[in-house]
Amino acid sequence: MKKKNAAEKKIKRLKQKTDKVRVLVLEGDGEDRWLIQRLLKEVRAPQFDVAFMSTLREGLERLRQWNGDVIFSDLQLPDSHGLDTFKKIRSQTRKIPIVLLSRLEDEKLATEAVRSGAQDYLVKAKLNSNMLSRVLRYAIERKKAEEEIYKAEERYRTIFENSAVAIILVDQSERIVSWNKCTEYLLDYGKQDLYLKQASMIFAQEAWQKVKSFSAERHGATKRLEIKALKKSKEPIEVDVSWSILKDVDGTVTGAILILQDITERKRLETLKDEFVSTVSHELRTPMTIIREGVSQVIDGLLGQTTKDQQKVMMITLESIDRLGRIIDDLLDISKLEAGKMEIERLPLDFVELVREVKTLFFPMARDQGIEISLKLSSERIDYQGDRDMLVQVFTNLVGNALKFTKQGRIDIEISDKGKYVECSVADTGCGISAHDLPRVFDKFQQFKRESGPGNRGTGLGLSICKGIVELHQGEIWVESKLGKGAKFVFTLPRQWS
Amino acid sequence: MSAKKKTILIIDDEPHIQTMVATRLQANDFKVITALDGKEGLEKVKKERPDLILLDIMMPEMDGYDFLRELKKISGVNLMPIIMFTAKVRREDIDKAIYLGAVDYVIKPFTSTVLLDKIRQFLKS
Repeated sequence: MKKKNAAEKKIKRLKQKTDKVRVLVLEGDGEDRWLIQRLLKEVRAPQFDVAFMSTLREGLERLRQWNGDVIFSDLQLPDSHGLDTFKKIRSQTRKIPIVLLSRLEDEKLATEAVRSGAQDYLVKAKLNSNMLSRVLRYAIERKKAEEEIYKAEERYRTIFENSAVAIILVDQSERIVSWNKCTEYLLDYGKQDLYLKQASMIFAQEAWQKVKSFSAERHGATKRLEIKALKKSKEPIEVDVSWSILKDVDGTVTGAILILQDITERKRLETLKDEFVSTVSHELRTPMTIIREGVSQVIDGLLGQTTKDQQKVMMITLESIDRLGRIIDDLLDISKLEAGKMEIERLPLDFVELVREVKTLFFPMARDQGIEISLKLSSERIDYQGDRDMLVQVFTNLVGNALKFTKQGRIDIEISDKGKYVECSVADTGCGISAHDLPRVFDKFQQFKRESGPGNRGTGLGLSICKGIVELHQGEIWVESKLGKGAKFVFTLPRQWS
Repeated sequence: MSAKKKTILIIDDEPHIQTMVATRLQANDFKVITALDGKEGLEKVKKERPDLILLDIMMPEMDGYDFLRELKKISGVNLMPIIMFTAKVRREDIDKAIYLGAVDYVIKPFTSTVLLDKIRQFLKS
């Protein structure tokens, strides 16, 4: 029973808390206290829970455990006078609105207090219940609004503080004004090391210029700059950086936000993966060389006569070894492309000469299949600056695919000079690609059903590599196709690049 | 056969590769000598003065690059063509060898026609 009583009391207390507006009045004058009490009674709703204190000392004492909605205070208390009274109350409570009760002669003082954060003031001589209720309502609304803001801010602060990336806020002269825990952890700085220091100290001079020019406005939120930042000890650390300028409503720059993410581990894994892929591919090549040459020597008759059946089996074996070789090459390429390790060598080249070479390369195979390869060129010479070997690889993959999927008909290679860019396409009259498969053609290891026909089995990486290479040249690649109606792969290469 | 057989030195740390390449080259009328690393290769160059060298890059003791550097110190061999014979496919690896004096490269696994064509091309000139 006792328990139940306690629970009921608690509920009652909570209810009271929520229903009634809790007011603390600091008023040294007995008559004024009586006046306020009377006026509060006249206010119809809400109901009040009023506590009166006659000295500042008592008031502050009470405030330590009192969490009410509004404080009324006279500026002149027996133990405190003027603005000081307001300041002392304010220092005790940040959140509760304070309404000052002033005498006529104190009005100037009261307005000053409002400027330094008091909610409002009431001149006691002019006091009436309407005024009181209005001031109270405003005070309570303001408190609610402030609580909401506080909660929202608290939410963002929690995100900011606990974020696994370093977030640094700088002012318009690029001095550090605020930062989160991760910043100190990532860069080994203590609090005193950062406040009002130049943000540029986090980077080497050259890197800092890069960071600032790579602002989020210019590159969008998804792109990141990978760069080295400096810890307090000047030890470099691999980070991914974004720099966003902050502006106020009229467009004046007020500062910026710098976000750093530690990518040391990612970099380490990338290097490890690269080394692994390149070692494996290297290690696989030696035994493959031996197998391939052994089989070739049997086929070439270096080791004596072979029967027709033996020849046939050896030829199939050789083809498979070559396919294995292509897979290794492609894996190496895709691994480099994905790691961003593939660097292009921009050298002047002539597309006309380049595609003629590609045509020559495929000519014997196409002739055997009865397929014509034709070139459509917008002029006799199409100059471009790019990586010749890589672009040959793009054409080789596309023409190779076209031959693979085309039983009869033709393959058209078209190059047109569009001024600002060069447009290339490889079109065939083959089996085409279904609408279902179309979105996935440039994905890795996508191999689509095809009629068993001549040509080598692919690796499923060719088109991903093409896409990678075209994108390295800052171009675009796409495919136009319908099932049974052939396929046309188009790519554009801009003449200007950044 | 009036012309003297041309001698090719294969420097490769993999004996089976040596066997395979030697068989192919001998079948095409070349004389073949072999070395298992750069050091041994240098000895053979001094002693036998081959007409052309097929050179691997990754080898113990002395690798292909060091071999090329050391070879420059031997007099009278500056016209000896060296074809890199390697499983390294990165452009910078090849470029480095060319910079150090190699004339061309063949990537492993190789096609016999490509290998023979390149050898003949550099023996002619």
